[in-house]
Amino acid sequence: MSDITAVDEANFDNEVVASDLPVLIDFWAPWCAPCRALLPTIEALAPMYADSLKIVKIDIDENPALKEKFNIQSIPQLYLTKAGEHIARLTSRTRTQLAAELDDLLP
Amino acid sequence: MPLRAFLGDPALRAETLKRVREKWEARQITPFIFLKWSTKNPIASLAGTIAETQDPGQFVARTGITLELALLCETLINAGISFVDDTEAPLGFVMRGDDAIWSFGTEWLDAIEVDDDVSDVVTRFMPAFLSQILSDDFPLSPQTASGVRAVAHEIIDLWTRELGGEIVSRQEWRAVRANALRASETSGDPEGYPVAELVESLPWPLTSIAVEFPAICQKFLNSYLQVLAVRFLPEQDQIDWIKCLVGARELSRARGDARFADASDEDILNHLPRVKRAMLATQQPEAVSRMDAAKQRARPLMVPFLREQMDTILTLLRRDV
Repeated sequence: MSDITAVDEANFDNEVVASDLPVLIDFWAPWCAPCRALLPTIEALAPMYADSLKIVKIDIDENPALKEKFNIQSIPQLYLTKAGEHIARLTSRTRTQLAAELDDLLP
Repeated sequence: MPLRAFLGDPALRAETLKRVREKWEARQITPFIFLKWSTKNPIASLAGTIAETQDPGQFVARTGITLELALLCETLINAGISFVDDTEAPLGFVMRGDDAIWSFGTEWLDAIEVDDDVSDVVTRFMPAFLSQILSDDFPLSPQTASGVRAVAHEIIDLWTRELGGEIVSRQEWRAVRANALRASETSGDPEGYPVAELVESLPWPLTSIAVEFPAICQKFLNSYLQVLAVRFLPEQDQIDWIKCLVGARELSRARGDARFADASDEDILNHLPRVKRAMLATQQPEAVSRMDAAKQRARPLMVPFLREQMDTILTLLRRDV
């Protein structure tokens, strides 16, 4: 099982904004059952895109400023970012669909 | 890497079984779909109780059992149990389920002998599970689109080759994934969506998808229960639910539309009034109550299927095949 880096307001700049790779952010919360169900899928994607994508997760309860910055109104939400700016929202929830979406979006 | 169940220690096996059985029979364990354990919180999952941890790595290190096997067993149990609010109960709810479901809570653990390597049980279970869903006996068989069925057979064929030791190329998997996406998208009967979405989730190498399988299975079982439950609803509710299932697909497609790139679901639904009406109709408190009641009535219909899956796991654990 891969580890997905947990990002918070303190390390957001280092982990996301300064990343050379595009960053896929999984907005989640511990009480959210669909988020828990999605996590193994996200963990499975991480090694597949290790060379082209960084994947992190943000707990919206612990990081209200990031929740507001990305205007998160429901979870789970998957945002693809570059230099900390949102470039696409991934709406799929199966690995098959997510991989197809990422293949279209990533250089 | 081979695993040694109970770390090769008969005393650990005996202690684990005794501790888990006592709590399970006293209904002090809640069958969840994820690892939950805390010394401060009385609510613990079955897998959490087995290893007394909610750390996935520690679970394997303490038990010699894969977490996906434990979570798969717990997911099957969870699908057969109703959680009913009860303010007088210690945890605020009571659990109701068939004895055939409850008994599996310790049966699967009891079927594992000291030193067994159970690392391949989930990968061997998956083709059997998908085959059972494709059988004519499966209640959603008439609603399963022929294209979905064909892709499911392609997946089973590739998995069978993998189990025979063959390495299936990435190109072959990629082709099946493309077929799965197409088949799922064109699956027209809303009551066939659960199988279509399950099949769409699965076209990956066995060892790669096994870790994800309990979550995929849980989602499928939940959708399956919902379809069964719709049949117990009054006619207007049935119409609303079918519209809602179709609407959820439309919403999902719309989320990927460039013009809605920054829009919330609420904003998107404001552009799709027909979908919004369908979804709101099923979210009214009275409609939700009727659906909950329908699920209570439908859940016993799932018991034979769930028990069949449980028996397949027991057979694999006992190496009877």
